[in-house]
Amino acid sequence: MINPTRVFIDKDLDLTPEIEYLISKVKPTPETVADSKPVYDLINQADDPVGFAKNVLYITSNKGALIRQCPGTSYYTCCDYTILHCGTFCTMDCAYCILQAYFHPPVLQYFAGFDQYSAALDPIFQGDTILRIGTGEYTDSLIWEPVSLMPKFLVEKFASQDRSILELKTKTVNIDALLDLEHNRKTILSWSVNTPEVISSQERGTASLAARLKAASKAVSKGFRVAFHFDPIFLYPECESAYERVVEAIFNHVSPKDVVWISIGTFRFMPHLKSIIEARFPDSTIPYGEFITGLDNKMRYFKPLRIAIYQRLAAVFRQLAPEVAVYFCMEDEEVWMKTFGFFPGKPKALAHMLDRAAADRCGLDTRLL
Amino acid sequence: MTAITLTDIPVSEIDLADTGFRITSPCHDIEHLSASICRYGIMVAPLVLYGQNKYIVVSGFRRIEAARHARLSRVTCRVMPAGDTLGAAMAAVTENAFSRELTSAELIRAIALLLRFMDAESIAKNATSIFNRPLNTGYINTLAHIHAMPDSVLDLLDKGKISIKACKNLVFMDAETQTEFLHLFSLIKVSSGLQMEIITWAKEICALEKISLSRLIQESLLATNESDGPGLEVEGSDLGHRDMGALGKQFKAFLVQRRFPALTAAKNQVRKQIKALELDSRLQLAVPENFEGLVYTMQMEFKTMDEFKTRLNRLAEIADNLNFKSLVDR
Repeated sequence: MINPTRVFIDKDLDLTPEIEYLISKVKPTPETVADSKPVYDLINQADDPVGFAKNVLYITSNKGALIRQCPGTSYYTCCDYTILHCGTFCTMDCAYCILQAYFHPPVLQYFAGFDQYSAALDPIFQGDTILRIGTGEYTDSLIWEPVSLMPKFLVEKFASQDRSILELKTKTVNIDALLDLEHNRKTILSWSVNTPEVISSQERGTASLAARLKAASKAVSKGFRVAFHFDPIFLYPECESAYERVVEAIFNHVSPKDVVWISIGTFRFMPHLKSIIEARFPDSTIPYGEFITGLDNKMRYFKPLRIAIYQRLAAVFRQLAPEVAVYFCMEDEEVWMKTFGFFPGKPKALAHMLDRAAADRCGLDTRLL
Repeated sequence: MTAITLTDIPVSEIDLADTGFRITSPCHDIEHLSASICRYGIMVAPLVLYGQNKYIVVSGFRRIEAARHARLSRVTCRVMPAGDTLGAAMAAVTENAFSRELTSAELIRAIALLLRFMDAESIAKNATSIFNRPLNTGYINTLAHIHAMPDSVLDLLDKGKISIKACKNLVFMDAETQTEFLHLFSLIKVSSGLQMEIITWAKEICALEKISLSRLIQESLLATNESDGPGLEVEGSDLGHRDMGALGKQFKAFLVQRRFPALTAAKNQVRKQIKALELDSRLQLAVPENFEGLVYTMQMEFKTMDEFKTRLNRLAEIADNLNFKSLVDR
């Protein structure tokens, strides 16, 4: 929940209805700043900048690229996702969250400017390739829903075309303002899921698994397509059956035909995240798995352990939802082959697989495949 | 400046038991110094502080102890006036710091001594003139934290069995865990880097398995060496070997096996498989690091065409070897 104790706003921003709405929804009167420095300085002086930054909202515009390619690495297979960079950081507090280490310091930023978004998206909507575009890479897509018109704007924007889909990825259940919108199946509401044990012990302030699945069911009832991300998967005693139960729970709430894709990926992290987790979540043992240094210099579970959990999950997916596209986020050929028996090794092969899934489920222009 | 007088005083009036100003480690071997004093006398007069009808040593503990050992009845000392404890503390540090580099333990004792009279910021501000080196407030506070650890930490530092870096890792642990780690490092002798790895792995194993460090140590071969009771056997370990360096390596192996069981098992398995290939020393097979990548490397050395052909034939044989196939087709 966005409930800041301090709000800052760039002095150059016009008070558009978008910004007036946002300001009306947050309590503190915004403090005008010439640039980001006072906000960064305020956050940096805190004992726990990561925790402190969750209560400081900075309303600004995106001075960099609004549309970005997912920063995949060469060795592991990437899905060629496109990021719509509409905000940064998050108000929820997950022990494993990479955003704790990614930004220096992390700042809860809202990038305003619907005109700027239209200018970036309109050429894509006229283009000749299918894009899967998400806002959930640097922030949770729907923490903003209770205070901002952005999610509504984007859903309606994407509804007007058939060449790209919008994925709003979340651990919240903030979907009520979206349910009655004309979405034309071009918005996928997706949930990052985990076992109840992990959610209760490692995810502060997120919705429970049951609540997320109930929200997914509600979204489907309104014609939305949904997706799920088992990422990060953690290895702990009895985790295999716990994750299997999550899969079963998903398909007790939604039909496979409404699920566009499901991604799976075990916990991986930049090495310096470990000390941040130890400092901010002293009771957490998640950085103490059997990790090795991966070829992208991130810490990853020892490969046979990854494959073992993937194989268990793949078997359940095959049984309960064989027609749903299940894919790995950043895994290699060996993992793909041993889990699914195939490897989308050619350039853009995984992207094509997911584009097809999006086209099938969301009614995209199949001539672009 | 403190007024110091040079005075010939009876050795019996010097209280060696009062170590309030001592920053050096207790001396165990003073034979050589004692012999030197017998033959040539004391070259530099010890510094003492007068107080309560006795003299307290500020600098020169070994010299006075050696003089006593040499049965000298009187020693010429530099005497500081009674009550100048701050001056004595400063002198205790500077006399040593400007004649040689202080050891880690001496630096810690010196900081603790000065903190009785001034705060960390004042010490930092005057560090170069007191310690002959700069020190920042954060480091001074860390050293003070180390001083507050159980006494054995200074003994281990003096013996080079624990590093400052390792101590810094221990300062924020609870007292019981600190004591256990210090006990552990009293049993083994390993490099500073290995100390850090041991602390990290042991801490992580205890957190994962929800056990105490003492239990972990009990389950290791160290317990066997301590009590000759049963302990966990580590592959390749020599339980009768009591060398502290070897024990340290064995304890590390125990921790690695416990902390990374699947990876260790895989590495052991591969080691056996490669050994079974009976490659000669000019053919070296390397598996992907941590089994993450997919690329194996075979390195071949040769001097002549005959050697080249022989090794090529050997490689052809290996290609049909079941051990090799199972290794590559993992």
